[in-house]
Amino acid sequence: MTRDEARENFSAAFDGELGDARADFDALLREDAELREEYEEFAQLLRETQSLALDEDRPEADGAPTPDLLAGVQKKLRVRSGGRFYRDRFSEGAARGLSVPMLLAAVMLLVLVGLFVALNWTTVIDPPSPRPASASPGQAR
Amino acid sequence: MPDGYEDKLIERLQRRDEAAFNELVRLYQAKVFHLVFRMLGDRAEAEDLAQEVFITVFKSIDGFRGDSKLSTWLYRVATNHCKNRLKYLGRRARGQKQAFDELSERDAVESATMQTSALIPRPDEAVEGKQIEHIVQRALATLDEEHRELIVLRDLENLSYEDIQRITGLPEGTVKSRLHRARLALKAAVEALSGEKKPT
Repeated sequence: MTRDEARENFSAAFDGELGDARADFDALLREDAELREEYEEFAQLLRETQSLALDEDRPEADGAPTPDLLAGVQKKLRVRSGGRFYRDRFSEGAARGLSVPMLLAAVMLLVLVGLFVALNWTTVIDPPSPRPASASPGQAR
Repeated sequence: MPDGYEDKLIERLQRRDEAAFNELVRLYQAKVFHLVFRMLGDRAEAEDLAQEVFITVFKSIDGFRGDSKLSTWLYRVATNHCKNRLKYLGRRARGQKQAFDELSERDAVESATMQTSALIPRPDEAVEGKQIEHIVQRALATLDEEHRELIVLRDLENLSYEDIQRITGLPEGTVKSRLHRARLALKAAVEALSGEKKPT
């Protein structure tokens, strides 16, 4: 392997794709300090570049997290489909857990149940019955 | 991802199930945004374009035949969008430059550099650890779109050569040789940029 051939193989060597030629490549690098330094610079840049890859524990390149795209996508789809898709706010919130309409419905249900219970509670209480008149002594006999 | 989940998701997407589409967006939005951001180098443009990618997916999911992974197909849609947007931005930038050339020389020079300098924090604004990242991102922006695409797919998205072949439609030999040229171009661009402020 010549120096130029080795240079052409820098990428393949970095990616571990050299196969049988790897031994020749490594031998040439051991003999040629200048070429070795060239390869090290090349590999260092690729390592630095690869360190910028997406990592769930790492924020985006400009320091801000990935934006939530869903609302924008839904809006564009609704407008462009003439309202055929995502035509109401219920469908937009379908996968977001408890949406505002769902919470509102739950509160209304609770209020209705409360009213029902309260009304039943008042109807079960009988009004006080009038006190029976005391029996006259004559009747007692 | 559980076995069979992707097939079921695709089936639901093809029925135009809105909840399935919400799932898809949440599942892949970080990957798609990251890819597009690295290709375009502009956050606002990337956000808009990433949305367009999902809209294209929604509209053309019937055309997905399942001969590759859904994520690979998404990447293909995203890279095609990026190439189109880069062409559009290039045309627009050339148009702007032409207009600026009619201004005074000083104003024209300042305006022509405005577009890229606005995207990159000045060195005094960037912390030390971020300098390499900014230089690489700036260097990426100087590469032609074919080179940039391969660097982003291989070195930033960590995709295999096979996936890259499926996304770009290029044969293996072309992917490897073009990637090598792209990396050399990136190295030259980084060296040119870091000549001003070389990170240690």
